[in-house]
Amino acid sequence: MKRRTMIRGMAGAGAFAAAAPAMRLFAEPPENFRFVSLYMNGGWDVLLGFDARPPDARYDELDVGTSLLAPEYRTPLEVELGGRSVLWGRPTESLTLPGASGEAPHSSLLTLFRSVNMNTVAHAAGRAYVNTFRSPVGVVPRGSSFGTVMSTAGALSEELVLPNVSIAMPTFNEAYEADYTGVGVALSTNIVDLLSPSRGSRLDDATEALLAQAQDAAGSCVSRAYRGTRPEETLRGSRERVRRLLEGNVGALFDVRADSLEGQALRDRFGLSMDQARNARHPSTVGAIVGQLLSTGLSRSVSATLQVGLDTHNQNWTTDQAPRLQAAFEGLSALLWDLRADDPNLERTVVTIHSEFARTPRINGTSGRDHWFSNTIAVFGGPLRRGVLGETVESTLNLQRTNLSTGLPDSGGEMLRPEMIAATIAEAIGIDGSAFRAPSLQAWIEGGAR
Amino acid sequence: MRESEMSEGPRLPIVAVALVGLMGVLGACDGTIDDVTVELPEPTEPVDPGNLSDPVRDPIGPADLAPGRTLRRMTASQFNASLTVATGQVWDDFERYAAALGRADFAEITEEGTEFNVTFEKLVEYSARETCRDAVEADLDGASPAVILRHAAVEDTGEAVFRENLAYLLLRFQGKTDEGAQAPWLALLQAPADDEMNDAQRMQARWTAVCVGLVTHPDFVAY
Repeated sequence: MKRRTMIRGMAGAGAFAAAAPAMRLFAEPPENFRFVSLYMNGGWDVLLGFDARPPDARYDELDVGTSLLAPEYRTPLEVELGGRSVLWGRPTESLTLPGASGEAPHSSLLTLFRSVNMNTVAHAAGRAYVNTFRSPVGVVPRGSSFGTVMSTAGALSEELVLPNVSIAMPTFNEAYEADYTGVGVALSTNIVDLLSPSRGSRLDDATEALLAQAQDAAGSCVSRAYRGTRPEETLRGSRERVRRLLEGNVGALFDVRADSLEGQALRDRFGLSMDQARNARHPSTVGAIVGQLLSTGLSRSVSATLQVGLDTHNQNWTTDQAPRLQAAFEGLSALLWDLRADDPNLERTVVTIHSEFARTPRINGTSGRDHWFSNTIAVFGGPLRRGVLGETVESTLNLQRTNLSTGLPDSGGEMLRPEMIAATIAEAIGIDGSAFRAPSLQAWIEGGAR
Repeated sequence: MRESEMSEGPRLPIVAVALVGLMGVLGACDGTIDDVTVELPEPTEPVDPGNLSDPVRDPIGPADLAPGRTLRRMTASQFNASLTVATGQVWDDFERYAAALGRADFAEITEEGTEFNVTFEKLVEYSARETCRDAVEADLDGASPAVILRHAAVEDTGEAVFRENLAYLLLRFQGKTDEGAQAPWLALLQAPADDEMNDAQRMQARWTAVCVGLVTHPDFVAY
């Protein structure tokens, strides 16, 4: 069910009609812009994923370790990225296949950032880094979540009830109006609970109406500590949103486990089996909830943990890393096809996928790989130049400087950092990227900065 | 030089100079010093910096920031503990929703959530409804000292009784002694009947609603 059909059933003008964005951010905000940030927990192995190696490169010091993997993961894929032929790990295959009607594969919509310096090999610090795309203070995140910043790309509206949603990851709002604060849920399927009438005991209608009046009329002494928006106004807006959500009974639209025609239709849309749907952490389940939040128009920005269990230091690298990456990329692929139904070339949709860092180029003594700070960050869609920006040292996976115009290695160039990527995406869609305090990659913004 | 050595020095002149200086400053505050001439530099014309292009980014950066600090609320554990103390009841589903309320697990999430959002709002309301319902029912059972209906019974309909119990509840839940804060809750209790319930049932529902309203109020959950 698409947004117009669904929203028509929702009630009330509510506080949003009057709410204005807190910040002067928009040069030309893209209409119905959508943003997805997907996190792969544990540190992904880029050699089995997006690391775009030239097919003819030598790997003298690098142990791809394919002989340790199950046969179906051993052969890399040759992929065309921005006019270059490169090798990807076999688990990415779903992203390289054309659509059922011959649409170009998702890989054609990709801007790939390689040799990104994470500056850490500690999980907590890396997680904080890819949450806000600003270097953390120790393990403490700094600034607002990337998803929060991107949720400000456009005005609030009556339909946009949950502008910023965060699934299984923390969300921060340092500087933006409360309406943009992320709505956090611990599991993807908690969205159903959130959007369904409260499990708490409801009073009779007359008393409920009196309670609502009293709640809206009650002032707050906490307000004395604040200038500008007062706490009771913030809470009133939040409460109004909850009331509208519940009046619309929207939760049923997200119930991927429902034994109903609607539930089956949702599962079919995302290629989800009932077994997968019963697992709230399965990447395809997460992808379905993310897609539904965006396609219904309830949300503009959704951040989610797409996959867990990638921290494979031991034998589990040989057994778990490749299948978990594959499951994640299949979930991502289904989500991208769903988003491309509305926006075939993802011109007004940006999907980023990343992990807190990568894994070492060599297999360790226990048949696994350890943590490695040279990372890859993938961005599908948006007004970015497609192709590959940055290269690691092919034989060692070490970081090297990049010419920010050509995307090629250059000893006089810059070391890529996550902040640069975030600033670039922000500027490309017309919002202020100065919060990331890093230069944007102007040459990679299609048509120049907005 | 050690502090004890410093203290042997000529303290009086220093104090005197300081006092004179202070008097000068104080005098300047009310404009009584006449002999001080301050020479201001001549205003200068801005110098053309040359052929500079416009800055790529807005030099001001994000503007129109909401003034004052961001609204913060209790952490999940603080809220649950406060709810238990205020209502005398345990919210059975706390563990189920603690992560959604922002409780850090110190494995994946190392920061306690203190931001308001729709999830927090909804779960606070849910928890308030559960515990307030149980608290009023426990009061009616009379097995333990009343928590919500301490100075009123469900049969009471007089304003004085309402006010006495509201004053107690506002102090208990929000630490307030201001009578003006009673107004919205008094209006709730005194609203004309518009239902099929008998008086006792109605007042039970309304006192429960008052309890829910006090828990979901910013003065209970915010700081």
